Amino acid sequence: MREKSYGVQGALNFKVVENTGWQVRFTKNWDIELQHLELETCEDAGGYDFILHLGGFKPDKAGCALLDDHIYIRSDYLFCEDSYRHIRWRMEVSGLEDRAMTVRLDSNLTGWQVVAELVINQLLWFRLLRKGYPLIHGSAVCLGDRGLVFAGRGGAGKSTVALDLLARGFRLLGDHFVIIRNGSAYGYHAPLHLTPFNLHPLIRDRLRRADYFSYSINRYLRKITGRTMVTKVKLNNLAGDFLADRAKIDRVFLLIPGNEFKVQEIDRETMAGHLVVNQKLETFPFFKYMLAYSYLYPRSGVASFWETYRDNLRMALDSRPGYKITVPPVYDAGTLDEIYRLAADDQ
Amino acid sequence: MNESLHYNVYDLATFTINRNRGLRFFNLINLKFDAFKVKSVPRPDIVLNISPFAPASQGCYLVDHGYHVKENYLFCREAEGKAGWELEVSGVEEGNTVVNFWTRRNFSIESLINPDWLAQSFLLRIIEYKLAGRGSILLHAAAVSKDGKACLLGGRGGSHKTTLCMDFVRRGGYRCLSDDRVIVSGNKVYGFPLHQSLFDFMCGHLETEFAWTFFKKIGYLRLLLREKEANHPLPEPATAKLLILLEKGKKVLDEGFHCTKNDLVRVLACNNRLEDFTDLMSWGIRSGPFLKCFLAYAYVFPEYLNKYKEMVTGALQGFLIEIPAVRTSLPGTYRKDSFVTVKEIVENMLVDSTGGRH
Repeated sequence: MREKSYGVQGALNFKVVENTGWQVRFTKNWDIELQHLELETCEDAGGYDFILHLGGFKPDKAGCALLDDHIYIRSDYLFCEDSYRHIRWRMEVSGLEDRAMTVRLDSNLTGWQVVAELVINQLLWFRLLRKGYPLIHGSAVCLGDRGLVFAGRGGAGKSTVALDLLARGFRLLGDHFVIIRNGSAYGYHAPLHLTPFNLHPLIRDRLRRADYFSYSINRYLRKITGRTMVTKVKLNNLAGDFLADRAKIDRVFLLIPGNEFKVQEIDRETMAGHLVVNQKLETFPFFKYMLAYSYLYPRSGVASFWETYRDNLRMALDSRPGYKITVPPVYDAGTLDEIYRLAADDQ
Repeated sequence: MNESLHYNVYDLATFTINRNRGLRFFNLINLKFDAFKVKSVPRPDIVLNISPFAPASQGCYLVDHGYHVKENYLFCREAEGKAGWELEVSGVEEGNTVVNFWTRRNFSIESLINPDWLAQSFLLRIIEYKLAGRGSILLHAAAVSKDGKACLLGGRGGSHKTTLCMDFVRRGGYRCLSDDRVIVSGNKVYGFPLHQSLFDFMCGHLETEFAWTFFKKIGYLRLLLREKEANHPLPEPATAKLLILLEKGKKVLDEGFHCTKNDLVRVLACNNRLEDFTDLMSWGIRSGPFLKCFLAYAYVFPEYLNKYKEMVTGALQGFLIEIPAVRTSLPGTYRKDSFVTVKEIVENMLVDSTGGRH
């Protein structure tokens, strides 16, 4: 059994307890994603915000209402046994609305590849929002104290744009998530997800040999199988000093793949609307559990969660201008130049 | 051979389904909207074409690699569980809606008896949105009525709504408007029966909705083969007098029992959205595909989501303002006194026209 403690920007502390056999150790995607958050000390003075147990467990289902044959709910508690395609999982959450939450998660062999990471992302987002830190699924860079956030769905080019701007002198706040609060964006230095689409030559030159080797293998596998494999590269394995911890949000961009390049300025309400739906799509398939809990407890924090997220986003985005950028299906140098012009313009 | 089927839902909405006639054996269970069948409709609000098609998806935004969205238009190609399909909707927000749907592959046994359920399941959601725009809400709830007064029974799957309806008909002398879905408009309740023949068969042959045996199933299949056409008259709409929400479990909902009207709006909306995840479970589809389509469209046009929420909230508040609502739980296994308990609540509320308001 192994325990590791993590902390996020001093706003959140949590612990992951791994109590599984060789299955989980076989696929450690979630471990790599969290390494940048590792804490030295085991116990924080204020206690943990949530503790996640990975491995088999026996749920405590007493006194629960049963919804749709697989979701057990009572006040502050949820247990479910579910599946999606080839992935099966069992999840128990106690202290849903409490200061301290305990989550137990068990999955099948093929499921561990995906489920632990998914659940951890959901928990981070859920608990950070509770403390007033809305999380945006996107990338962020900064020049000096001017921060730029690029939000969008998968495949919109958030990583591509961020890495391209890095090569032009910007610093990286994060490639996958951005934590925002009171008009500032905070660094979240999760590993880069490199694919043949977003790897900039300058970044490639900074890769360690081992990472470049993994990347080449994945690129070759993509040629044979047609599936894009992501190479995860820890940020502190990249040569050079290009990370940043915090910046004031100057602009927020929403990237949407479309036909041709177009830029449209949008107001804060519309931007918040886009970002809320973005997060709803991101939450699938756990969206269902939030719905089930809200159905039984319509006055709970979970039930008003999306309104809370939207309000927090509005406050955090302050009155910074937002832009909707329609990007072509395949990026070319011209697209990246246009985006750089927008990014560099500090009116 | 192609055929056109026309439907009219109490003049609240009209639609047409164009499909390949195919095997006619199981039409009773395959054609879900038979209760509303009419000879023709002049200008249907929605047209569903179940046939291969070429999507008109030029100039679209791309969401999540599979959803093509532009103003008033959506196209997606998806696969999950035992099925793969293509869906195109023109006229998402306004104007007449044309839906093209084609199932690329379908490996479930259900598809032999129920080949068009996937297409009709999407159509059902589109009807729901269309009705919402007109101030009527298609609710996932059952309703029973007597003397023009109706009581709605809401609850998730497995909360014994159907068995209670069966007992209300058999032992209470009530009429069942529908055991699965109803339309509420103002204070009127309209039944939206999706499988009337199945419900009638269960009333006549089964103790509870879960008492299926192999031989009973054979019996039902034989009935389907014998009777080609549905011959059930549409139930008369009734005035809503009471809403009962049923939960399954021994001791639940501690403080949640007493809901305000605003809470109930949220509860009923969640109930509807949860159906998106459970309707297609027998096909191995559990991820709420229509909800994903809706959100993909709302991602590009977030004002649509706000507009839709306002419409639904307004209509539900208007409906709930007049009628009392009770939330109660029944034991996990259906017992004789489950029906007696609920019947008592209904009779008290329906008789007592002034009291009992929450």
